Amino acid sequence: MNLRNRRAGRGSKLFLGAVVLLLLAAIPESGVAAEGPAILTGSITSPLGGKVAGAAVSAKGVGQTITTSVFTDEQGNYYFPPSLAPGKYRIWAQAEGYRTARAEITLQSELQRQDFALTKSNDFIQQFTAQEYLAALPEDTPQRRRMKDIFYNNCTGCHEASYILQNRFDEKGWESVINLMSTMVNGGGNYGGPDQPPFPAIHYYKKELATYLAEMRGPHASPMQIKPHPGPKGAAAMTVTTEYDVPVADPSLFSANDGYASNDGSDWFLGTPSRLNGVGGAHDTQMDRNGNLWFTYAQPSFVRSLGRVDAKTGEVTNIKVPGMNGMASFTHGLAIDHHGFLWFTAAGAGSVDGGVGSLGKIDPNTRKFEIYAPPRGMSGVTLSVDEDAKGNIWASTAAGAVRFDPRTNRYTEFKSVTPVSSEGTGESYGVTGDAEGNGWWAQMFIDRVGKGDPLTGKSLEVKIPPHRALAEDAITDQDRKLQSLSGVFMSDFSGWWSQGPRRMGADKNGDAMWVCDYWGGNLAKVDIHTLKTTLYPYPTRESAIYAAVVDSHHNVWVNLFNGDAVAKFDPATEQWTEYPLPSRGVEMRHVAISELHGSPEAVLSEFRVGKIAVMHFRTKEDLQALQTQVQQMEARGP
Amino acid sequence: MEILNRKPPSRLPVNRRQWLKSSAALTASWLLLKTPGQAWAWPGRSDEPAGDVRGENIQYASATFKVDAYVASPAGRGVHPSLVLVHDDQGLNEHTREVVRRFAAAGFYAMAPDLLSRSGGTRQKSAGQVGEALAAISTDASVEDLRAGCSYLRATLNPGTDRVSAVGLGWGGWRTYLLAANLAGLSRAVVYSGNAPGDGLKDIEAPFLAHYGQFDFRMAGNALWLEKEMGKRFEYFIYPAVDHGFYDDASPHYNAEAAKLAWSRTLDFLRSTA
Repeated sequence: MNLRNRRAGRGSKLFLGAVVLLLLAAIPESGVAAEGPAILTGSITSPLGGKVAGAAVSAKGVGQTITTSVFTDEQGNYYFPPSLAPGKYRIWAQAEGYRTARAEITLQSELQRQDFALTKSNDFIQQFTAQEYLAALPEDTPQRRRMKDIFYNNCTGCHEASYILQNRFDEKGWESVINLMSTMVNGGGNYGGPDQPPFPAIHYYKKELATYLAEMRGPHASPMQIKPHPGPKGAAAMTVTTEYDVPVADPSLFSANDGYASNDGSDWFLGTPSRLNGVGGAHDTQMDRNGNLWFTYAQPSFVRSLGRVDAKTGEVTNIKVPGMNGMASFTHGLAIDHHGFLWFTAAGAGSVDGGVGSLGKIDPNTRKFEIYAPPRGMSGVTLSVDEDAKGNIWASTAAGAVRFDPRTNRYTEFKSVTPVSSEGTGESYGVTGDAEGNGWWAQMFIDRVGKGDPLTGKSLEVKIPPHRALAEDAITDQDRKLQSLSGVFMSDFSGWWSQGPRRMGADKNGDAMWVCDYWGGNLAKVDIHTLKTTLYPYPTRESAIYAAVVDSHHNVWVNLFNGDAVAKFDPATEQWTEYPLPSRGVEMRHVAISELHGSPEAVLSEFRVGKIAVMHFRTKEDLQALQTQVQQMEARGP
Repeated sequence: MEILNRKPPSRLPVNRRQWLKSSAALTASWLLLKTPGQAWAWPGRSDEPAGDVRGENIQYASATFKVDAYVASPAGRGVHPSLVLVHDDQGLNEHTREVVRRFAAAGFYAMAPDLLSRSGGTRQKSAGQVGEALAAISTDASVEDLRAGCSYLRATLNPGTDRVSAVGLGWGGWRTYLLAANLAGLSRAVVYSGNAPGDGLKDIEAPFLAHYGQFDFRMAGNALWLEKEMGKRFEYFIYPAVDHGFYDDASPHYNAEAAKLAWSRTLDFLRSTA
């Protein structure tokens, strides 16, 4: 199942042989041994007999934890790479507006065809991505634009909009939900008790919001524009995605389908699952130099700080970094350095003051880790980590960023120029190191980006220009006043004009630093020398671009929090390509790009549904070669 | 999602509830949230020193309980305006007593009930135990003790007083709103960076004054909602470029200028009869 296998069709014979051996070793117990991997192909048709383009087709070995998915081309045909090991598979095909079609096959020959005839569904809204739900909210009047902004500003900082909008409640029901949400402890999903101050904006707008949501998603006919969306086409439909199931970390505390998610996003009709089931938590991901996958784990656990996924078998191994009170350290950011070591942010691990975050380094081969705590008096490491082109490790802190020199084990701190402003508090979220050894950090709530210059030891800042509110013409004086008092905060109120620079990536071979403006929907480029800032809007703002990383060809890759997709931005052409995942409700929080196997592959965490994914990008030529191979095999006959 | 009733492995000193609590704490720290409710809550040193005002510890009855309280009265005879100080999440400690004396020096017969009296009193607890003990006291019990304190002030300590006001500090803010909603005739109330209940505010008759630091966004942001609920009975000030605890000289966010201004506004408000 290793992605290398998929490339065997155009690789050397020697390499193909090695792959075959590997795959034979991985034949499922229930499988039927055959001579080698087979090509699975087929076509998808609609009830009227037309071809369905952009349909997702997924295959999962019975009893296995690895799912491989492709999309149909514009002729409605799909082609799995020649890497599926013989055995029994469940196969399913999905397209919006159609019922999920399923089959079970035993893959045993060189070529196997499985066609699907889809049937229509009249109740397909559950298949929507969060972005599609948001796009369906009408904007035809100033007041509707205002309420859409209020909903977006208040309710989508922490969870995908689909988690909310998949539900229908009357006004009283929505008000109950909003009341509870207004008193949540941030991010934890826990009621904070009577002394927990409610989130001001949610509290203030709760009646208006309840009325609005009951109109949009209530018991009566909705003015939402609910229509099925076409699937991907062109390059976006050529991907092969391999998804690895991640078991629940602490199964003694939760029961979830024999240790795995009962709703893992693979059946779009099941909607977006709750996170209180112990399934979610895989946060940042990286591929190590052996092609195996690693992830941080941003949920409390007694056993898992990091997870390692064997890319061939799908086996997941937990690594516990001791944290507070016997728990595993809570990790968040993950980066791979030029030696192949993995660096992570670890809360409560090895810190001098207890609870302050440290940097961790793990050798993926030996799985031995070391913890480097910032010295007393220095800000603790928080959320993100990255290596600069000079080999230093940068990590975000509440006050800016720190730089760690792995050669001397010495930390240097860079503090934000503006720690707090009238817009909100200035904690850092994303961090990156650039081509010249500078560090950058994102102050998400106050629309600033900090730059740490190691040569001068000084910090600079860039102010991202404000975003234009959707409801610019309908914002009231009270709305403005509320924003001025509440400040911007992730789980409460993004404000009308916030860009929300969230996570970032510098071009290690160029002069640009890129940051995702989560709320504004812009990718911002900052020139690392002149600090000149240029905004490149994402075509659909509600997709919520989240984290950025740059590949060796200067292309910028982002994950779409509300879109269940990754997207590539080519700075030369200023064109975007959006590549959807085959799953829904995944709530992706990070994107890593690995070029271990030559061309870029996206390494992704499906945070909410408990899966790690690798997306491989096939070219037109790859697919044409596969089609030709299929045609030749079919011409030969059985 | 079904939740197992199975106990966690014995090596884990937790259950799912504790896991969720840990989840909340960890994710709160992850998101860099300041812990709400942990208020520093006494007005800073002002130009009106406590002087030779002397306070004393007393007890009064509330339901079947004896409530400890600290009282101080202005020098000189006569009837004074009365004031109940609702302490913050540190309980009735020495610093709260000092604030009581300050109010007395400013002309108020002031009393701070110990809302931990029902569970042994602040003096019996370490600083670390106070927060947990306060969380275990129901707001109804606290309001009952405050109401009884107001009655005792009015009937016994300072008979003839025509005005009883309340001042809530941080954690005590919520209880001050509840007291006002449940005590007819409360003259005025002041809250420093306090949270407010989500309902019942329309029953409040007493005029309210609230002080917030601009950077205490989560508290200050709710001022507009309070204004919407309470109308002209609610007045507030935002102190620019200061954070939670700006008025408390024990807080790292103490700001002498803003604290002095808030204190003078508090006294003007409490003294006003308009």
